[in-house]
Amino acid sequence: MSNALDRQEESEADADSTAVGEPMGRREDDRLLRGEGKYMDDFEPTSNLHHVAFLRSPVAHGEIDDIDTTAAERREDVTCVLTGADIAEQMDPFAVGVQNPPEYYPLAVDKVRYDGEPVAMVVATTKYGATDALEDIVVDYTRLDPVTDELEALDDDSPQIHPSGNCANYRELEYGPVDEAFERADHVVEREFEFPRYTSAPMETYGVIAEYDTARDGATVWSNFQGPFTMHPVVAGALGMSEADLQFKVPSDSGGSFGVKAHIYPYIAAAVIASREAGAPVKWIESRREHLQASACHTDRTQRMRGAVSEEGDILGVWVDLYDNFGAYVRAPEPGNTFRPLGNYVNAYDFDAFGGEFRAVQTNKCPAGLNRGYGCHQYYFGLERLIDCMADVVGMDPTAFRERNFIDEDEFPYRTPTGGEYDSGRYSKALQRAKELFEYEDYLGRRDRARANNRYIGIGCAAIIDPSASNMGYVSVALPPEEREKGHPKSGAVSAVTMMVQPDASIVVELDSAPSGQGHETTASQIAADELGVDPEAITVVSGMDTSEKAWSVSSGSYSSRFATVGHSAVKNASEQIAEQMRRIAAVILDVDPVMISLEDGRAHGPDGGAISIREIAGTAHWNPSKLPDNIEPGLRTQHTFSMDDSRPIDEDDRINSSGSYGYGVQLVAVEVNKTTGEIDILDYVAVHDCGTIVNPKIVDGQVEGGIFHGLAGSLYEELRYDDSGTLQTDTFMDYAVPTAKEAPDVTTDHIETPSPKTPMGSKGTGEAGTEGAPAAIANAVNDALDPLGVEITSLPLKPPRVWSLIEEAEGEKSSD
Amino acid sequence: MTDDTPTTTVSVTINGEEYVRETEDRRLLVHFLREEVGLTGTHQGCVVGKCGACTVLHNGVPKKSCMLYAAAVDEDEITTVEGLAKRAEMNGVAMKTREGTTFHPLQMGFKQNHGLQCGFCTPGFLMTATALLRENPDPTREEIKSAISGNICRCTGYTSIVDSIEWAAARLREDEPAVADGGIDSTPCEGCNCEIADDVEGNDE
Repeated sequence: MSNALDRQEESEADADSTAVGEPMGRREDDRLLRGEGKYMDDFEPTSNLHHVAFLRSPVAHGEIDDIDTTAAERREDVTCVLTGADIAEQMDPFAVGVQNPPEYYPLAVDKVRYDGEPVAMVVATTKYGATDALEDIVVDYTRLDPVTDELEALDDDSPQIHPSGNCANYRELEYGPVDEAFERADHVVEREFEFPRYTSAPMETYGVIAEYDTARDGATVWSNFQGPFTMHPVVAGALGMSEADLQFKVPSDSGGSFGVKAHIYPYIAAAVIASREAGAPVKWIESRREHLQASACHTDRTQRMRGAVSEEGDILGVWVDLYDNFGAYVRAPEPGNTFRPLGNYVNAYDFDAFGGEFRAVQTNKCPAGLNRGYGCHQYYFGLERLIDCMADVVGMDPTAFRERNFIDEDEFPYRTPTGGEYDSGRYSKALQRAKELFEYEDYLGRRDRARANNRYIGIGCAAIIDPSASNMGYVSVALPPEEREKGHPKSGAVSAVTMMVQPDASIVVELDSAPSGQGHETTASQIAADELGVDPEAITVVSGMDTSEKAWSVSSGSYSSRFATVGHSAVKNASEQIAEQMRRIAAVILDVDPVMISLEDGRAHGPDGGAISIREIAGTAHWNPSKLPDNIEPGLRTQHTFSMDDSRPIDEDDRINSSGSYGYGVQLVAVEVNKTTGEIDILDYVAVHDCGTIVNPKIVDGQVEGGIFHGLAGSLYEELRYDDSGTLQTDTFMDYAVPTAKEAPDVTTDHIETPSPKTPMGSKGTGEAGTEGAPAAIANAVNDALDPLGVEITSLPLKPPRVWSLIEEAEGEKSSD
Repeated sequence: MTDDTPTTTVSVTINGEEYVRETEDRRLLVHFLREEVGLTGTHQGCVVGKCGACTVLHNGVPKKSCMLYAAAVDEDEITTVEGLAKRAEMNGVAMKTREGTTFHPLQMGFKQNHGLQCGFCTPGFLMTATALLRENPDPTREEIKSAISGNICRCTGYTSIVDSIEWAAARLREDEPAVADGGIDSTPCEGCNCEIADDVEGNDE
C-alpha cells in the first residue's frame, strides 16, 4: 500500500487560501530523511582531493622552541607540511576592530596560547594518512604559566598572553541620567554574576574544501559556513586577495551551527594556503575533539551589576561592570559578545539610565565567538537575576515587578536610551498569557504547601528581548568616536534574493542564506507561493551561498536570526516584483488593465472571467519578447536586496539601533531541588513568544523549543571546563555532558503575533529567544526553591554536586549561627 | 593506504546488496560505508559512541558504526538509512510526500511532526527507532525516550522526535496491524534481512 499521507493530512491547509501561516511539513526533509542531504563530508565538488590534518598544542601557554617536520614530510603519502611560520609568510594577521588587537593567524606563530591551538598542518593523499603523519612532527615547547580567569588576567602580575597585554578593549559607556538614578533610588541592589562557557556543539563539525587556482591567483572554497558576511572581506584581506578572487561557496545542507560555524574562517585561510602549497585541492573535516577544544564558544563572563529601584517598584537605572573572557585571541566579528545587545541593554523595561564598563579580556582558553543568543544569554542571566533581587528588595512578586516596569504596548516604536528602536510588542499580554498557562497564582500556593512539607520547589520567570538581523554597525562601539572616525561608517542588515521564472513557468527562488535547519527553503516557498498564486511545491528554492555567482552583500548569511526579518522581506518583495511583471504581461495578452489581474491557481485571472496560465505568461516572456510591454525586459527575472531602513551607523554618542527587529519572550519554570542529591527536576515549563507574523508555526515552535533546551543544557549540564594548567577537561562527548531525550522536559509554548511594522511580512527572527531566556528562568527558579535556605544563585551550571555544596554551606552557616 | 597497512577482504550485505571490498583493518565501519561504499546518509558525529549519528542496523541490531571496524562485519547484514524506504516498500507500508518522495512511516513521522531541523542526527534516530518499533510496536513515551537516549540531537529539544516516533508507531499499528514493520506472521526476506508479512505482497503502488 502506498499512502500519500503527507498530502492527505495537509489537505485542510490547502483549503485555506494562503500558505503563509500553515504548519506545512518542510521540503528540506524529503532529502534529509532519506540520507540524501549533502553535508560537507558528503560530496566531492572537485577531483583529486587531498586531506588536511592539524597538529595541536597540548600546552595552554608556551613558547614554541622548535618544530621538526622532516620525518612527516618524508612519508610517501604526505604532500606538504606547513607551520605557523610558513603561514605567516603568506598572509597578514586577521583584522579585528578593537583598540588593542592581537596578532591572530590560523596557526600559532612562535607561541601557543590555548590548549588545542593548531601549530602545524599536514596535507596528505588520504585522511588516515594525514592523521598518521602528525605523529612524526616533533615540537619543543617551553611552558609558561597560564591564566584562564578573566578577572585574574587583568592583574598586573598575571601571565601576559600578548606583548600588548591581556585587555584587548575597554569602553565606559553612559546613557541617560545614571548618577541621578542611583542618587534618587530608595534601594540599590548589587550582585556579581558568573556565566560559564558552554557551547552549542552542532552535530556536524566544521568542514572546508579549498581549491587554489594558479591561473587566476584565486581560490574557491566550500565550507559549512554561516557567512559569507563580514568574514569574507576579513579572509580576503588577510590573504591579500581581491574579494572577487576568493569565492566562498556554502552548500544548502549544514548540520547545525548556532553561531559557532561563523568561526571556520581561520581554517578557510589555512586551507587556501595549503592548497596553493600542495598544488591540489584540500579537504578538512574537524573532529569532535577539535571542535570542543578549538572551534569557538561564547564568552564566559563576570558581570558586576547594580540596579537602582524606587520604593514603589520602578527600575530607575542599571550599571554593569562587564568582563568578557575572549580566550586567547579576540577575533572578528568580536567583540560582538559584548556589544551585539547594545540597543537592547534595557531589555523589556522602561527606564532611561544605563551604563557600564565593558572589558574584552584575553586568557588561555579557546578564542570566543558566536553562540546561540550571541551576547544576550550571558547578559540576561545577570539582568534577570538582578530584576528578581530588585523585586525582592521592594517586596514585590517577581512577575508583578516585571509587569510594572514593562514598556507598554502603546509606546511602540520605542527608543531605548542606548539607541535601540523596538518595533512592536505586547509584553504584559505575553506575561499574562504565560501566567495563565502556568496557572501561576495557583502554583504559588502549591509551592508554599510543598515547602511546608520540606520540599524545595521554586518558580522562576524571565522576560527577554530577542534582537534579530544585527545592524553590522554595532561593532564600531568598540572604538571611541574619535578613533572610529578614521574608518568608514558602517551599518546595514540586508538580504538579497534572486527570482526567476523559467520558460515552462517553473519558478526558482535563490536565497543568500546559509541555513542549518531553520527551514529557509520551506518558508521562502510559502511566501512566494502566496504572491504568485501557486502551490509551494511548484517553487524551487535554492539556499546556500556563493560569493561569485549569487547576489549577496557583507551582511548576507545566516546568523543573528536574520532570515525571518530580512530574508522573508527580500523574498516577499522579489515575489511581488515577479508577480507585477506577470500581471503586466497577462494584461497585454488579455487586453485589460494590469491592476485588474489576479494570480491564483497557477493562472492570471482577468476581470471578466478570462484567464491564462502562468505558463503562457512565462512562455511569452522568454519565447516571444516582441509581445512584451515596453517596460518589461525579456525573460522573467528579478533581483531584490532588502535593507532595514533604520539600520544606521553608530552616532557620536555611541547610540545605535543594533538590530533590525526585536522579538521577545516570557518563560516561567517550576523546579524541584532534591536536597539530598542536589539534583534539579524541571516540573513545568511555559514559554510565550512573539516573533511577529508566523510563516510556519511548526518551524517557530521548533526554534523556540530547541533554543530552550539549549539554554537548559547550559544551565544544568554542559560546561567547557579547564583545569589549573589550562587544559580542557571536557573535550569529548564522554566528558562534555550533552543531555539526551531522558533529560528533556515537556515545554508548553504559545505565541502572540504582533507584526513588525518595519518588515513587509511583519515577521521577526526567532532562533535565539529560547536560549536567551532559559538560563535566567532556571536560575531564578532554583534561587526561589532554595530561598528558604538562604542560598543565592549567581553562577551556572547548576550541577548536582555544586547545588548540594551550596545547600550544605548554607545549612552549615545556619547551624553555626 | 600504504603498502604495509594490514587489510582484509570484507563481504557484507548492505540494504540487500552484497559488497566485496578490500579495506584497511583499522577502518571504521562508518568510514567504510561513507567512503568505500558511497552511502553518506550515515554520519559521523563524535567517534566515541556517544552521539549515535552513525547508528546502523547490524544483523537487525542498532549499532554505532564508529564503534565497529569494517573488518568485523564480514558476512553480516547492515541496514542504513538509505535502505529504509525500500524496506517500507517491501513491507507495503511506504508513504508518499506532497513532493512525491517515498518514505518509510518513520520518515513520514519525522516530517509530519517536525522531528528534525538540521537533519544531521536524523538517520541515526531513524535506525534506532526502526529497531525499537520492531521489538515494541506500541512503546510508551518513556520507552521511546529510553530507546533514543544513545542518540544526541542539538536542534530540537527531543519532544518532537518522541512525537515523530509515536506517530509512526500508531500509523504502523493502524494501517497494517499484521505487518507492523516486521511484527507477527512474518518471515525474513532474502537479502536485506528485513521481514515481510505473510499476507502482504509487497508494494501495491
